[in-house]
Amino acid sequence: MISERAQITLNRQVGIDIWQMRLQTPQIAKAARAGQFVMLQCGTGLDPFLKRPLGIHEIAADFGVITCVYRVVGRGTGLLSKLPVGSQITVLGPCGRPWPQLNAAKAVIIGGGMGIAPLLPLAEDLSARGNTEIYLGANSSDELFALVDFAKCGNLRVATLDGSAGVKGFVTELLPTDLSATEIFACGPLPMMKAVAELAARQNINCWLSLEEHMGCGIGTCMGCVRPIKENDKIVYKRVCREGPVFNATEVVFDD
Amino acid sequence: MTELAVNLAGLTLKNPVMTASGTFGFGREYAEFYDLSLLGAVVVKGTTLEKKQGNPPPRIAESIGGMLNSVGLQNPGADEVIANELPFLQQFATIKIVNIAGGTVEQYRAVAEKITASGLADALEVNISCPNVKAGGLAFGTDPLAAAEVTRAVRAVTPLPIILKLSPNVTDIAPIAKACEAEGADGISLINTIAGMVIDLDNRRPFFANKVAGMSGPAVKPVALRFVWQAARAVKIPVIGLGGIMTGRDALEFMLAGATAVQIGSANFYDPASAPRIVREMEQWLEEHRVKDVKELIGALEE
Repeated sequence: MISERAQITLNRQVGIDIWQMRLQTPQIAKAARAGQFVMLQCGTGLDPFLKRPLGIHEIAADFGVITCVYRVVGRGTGLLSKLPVGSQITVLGPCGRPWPQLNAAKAVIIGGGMGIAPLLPLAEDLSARGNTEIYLGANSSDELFALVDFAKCGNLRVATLDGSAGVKGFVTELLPTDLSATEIFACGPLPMMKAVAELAARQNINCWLSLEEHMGCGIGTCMGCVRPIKENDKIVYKRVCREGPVFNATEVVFDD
Repeated sequence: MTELAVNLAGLTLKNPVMTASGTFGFGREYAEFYDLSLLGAVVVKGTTLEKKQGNPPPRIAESIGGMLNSVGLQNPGADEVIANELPFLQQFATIKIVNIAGGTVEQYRAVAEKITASGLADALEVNISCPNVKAGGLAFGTDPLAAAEVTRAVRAVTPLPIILKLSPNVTDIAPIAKACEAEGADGISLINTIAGMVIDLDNRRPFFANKVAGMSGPAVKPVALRFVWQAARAVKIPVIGLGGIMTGRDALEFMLAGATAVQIGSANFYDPASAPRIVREMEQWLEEHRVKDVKELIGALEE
């Protein structure tokens, strides 16, 4: 893992409360794998004290840059959105475990809301193999992003709750009834991931979920980002930043 | 050449900077960022006799100039720590201090025995100040008689230096520090976190399941300095100062207040390479001010 001073080269609004930030982080860009995240300093001094975890949306190792897409939800991300291009922040990463290698004939990628962001590097990695199904959902079209990028990587279908883009309804309603010989990679709101996990369990297929949690350090020492995870019939607290953010769907406990 | 070494309870630290328990895991994660041999000592995560699951999330909240935590001593238990965590640290040329905690005096005694017998620790830090566990913890650190009892029990089973980690959640630190000293403590460290609270207004609920959590970070530094200054005047054994140290200047202020060494806590979360940076900054200040030996600053506050 690397702590790097990074120059912001792009920080623009791309939807309602949704922002895109590009950072010059040559070392992190080189080391990052699909599914990992970075911790971003949201100011220039001691306040805010803690960094914020953001999934890596684009990895351009050759150009030494990464891109994150984030929703302004609180003080930290609010301040992040106000940082001007050219300013420098500390970035820690790449954090967490990447998406595992595809271990089935076909990949099914399912993203909901901001969970779409960390799925793009995975879709790009898998695009070379072909035969990738991508399902993305959001409340409304103004919360969808990177559709053109995803469409280049596989067969893309989109759902919005208000019907403003794609099919009206939940993204899970787009999924085919027969998922045999596929492996699922999903990131999104917990209810979506719960539905996906149940579907995978019913069809007995492998499913990976990327979880989100408030974090203190991002490197595994503050023990602040734990979630209950099943391990050998027991439920234990595991760190989303270190043992995650990607967990097998059979390990994830939803009823908390 | 500036002399940075300090003597602490019979141990020689190459510099006064150590890590604070609960912010450093067992060192593995930080070893990805720097050579742990650069530090005077490392203090690892609070270790209990049995594995401890810790508190339900959420466990972390930010505050202005700091943070609150309600981790509740999640750790794999003494046997696992001895088998899988402490051996990793042996490759580093630094003093290894294991922080121990318990819910009863008997548990403190038992975990002290186990860690001592492992031969993998140079000293023990006895945590009698965790605000995030229901049994024990803070209860031992807020009463001089209870603090004395824990100190006596641990003293009886280990030849290793013992450092009692004290709580700021008391009216007067002096009688507690003195009680530890009288029962054979080789040093005291303070402050552990300050009991605090976060309220979720929109849901009209306490943010933490435990309701009360422990506050740390640069915002608590003035409180910590005051406690270190008072404790150092009350006892003759070395005092280790901690609480909001972010820079070399902060660390040297604690030494002026009477600390022989300092611990870096929440700063590890702000910047994982804080501890070695603080060593460099201390050295730089000492050079600039033509102080040849950092020990000259210990308790040298001009009052």
